[in-house]
Amino acid sequence: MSSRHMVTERRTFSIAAAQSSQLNKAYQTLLSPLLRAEYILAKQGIYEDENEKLEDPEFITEIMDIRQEIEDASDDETLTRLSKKNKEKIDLTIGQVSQLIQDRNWKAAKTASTRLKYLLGIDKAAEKKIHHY
Amino acid sequence: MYRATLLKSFASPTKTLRIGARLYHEKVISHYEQPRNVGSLPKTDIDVGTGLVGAPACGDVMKLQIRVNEKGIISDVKFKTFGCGSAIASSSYMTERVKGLTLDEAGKIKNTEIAKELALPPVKLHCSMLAEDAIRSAIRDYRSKRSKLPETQSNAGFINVTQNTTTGETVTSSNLPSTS
Repeated sequence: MSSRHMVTERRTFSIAAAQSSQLNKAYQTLLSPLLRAEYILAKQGIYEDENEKLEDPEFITEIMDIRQEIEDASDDETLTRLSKKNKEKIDLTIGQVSQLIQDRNWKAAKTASTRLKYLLGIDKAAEKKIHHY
Repeated sequence: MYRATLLKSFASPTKTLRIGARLYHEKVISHYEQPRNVGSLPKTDIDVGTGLVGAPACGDVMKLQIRVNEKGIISDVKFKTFGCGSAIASSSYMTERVKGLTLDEAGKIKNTEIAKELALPPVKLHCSMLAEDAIRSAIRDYRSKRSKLPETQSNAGFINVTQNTTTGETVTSSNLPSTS
């Protein structure tokens, strides 16, 4: 094979790789309500700032308490109950996020999406522990 | 030959990823695997300050509590962090660092010091920032608690006097003006 042909093949390959990766990312975004919300908010110029601080003591305490309950839970039943309760909160918050986005209330949508992120973190921690037993 | 280079260039990211697992500095791992001073202090205690902070970007929450003795020195510290290894290590390191310091000294600790000490990579810098925010928030909480005390002096003996004033209103008048 000529080296020119190889160069073309290489280029095609990298284009295909890039497209496939983009498609994967798009699909993952569409699958996740949180990523979808973050994408829409980013389109409005509202980005997730790495150095942003959360200073709502009430909310942090709520998250802290649930995380602590999950950590302290020693049986499957308690964990399932906590996880179920949290999943209800997640559904409720997803509803709020979509409503706020529909209303183009970006600031409140951002706050709700942050809340969703934390609740999903709780869900992940609970699931991880349930599967650990 | 070209095919070989092509394969190689695609294989390299996996290699970096694998090495990536070991990118954490051993001090981070030590603080992560054996965090120092994990736990809680009674947050209603008058000599306890509670700092509560969160980093929305990674979904971390951190609670850092200090107990301050009558000399204004941090005598006890406890923390609880739900988050990544770097956030846990940063707060664990912070508790060791502030014990025995005055509030002013503790409030001056910069996140860059933690980041340097734990050799945090740039993407984890915000974890050390969270620890800095946490100690400041705890100091602020302690000070605001203190400022709400009806006494200008913060001796333990004087607190008892305050408790008496609520029952016997005659004594109150002498103390009240200094409150405002």
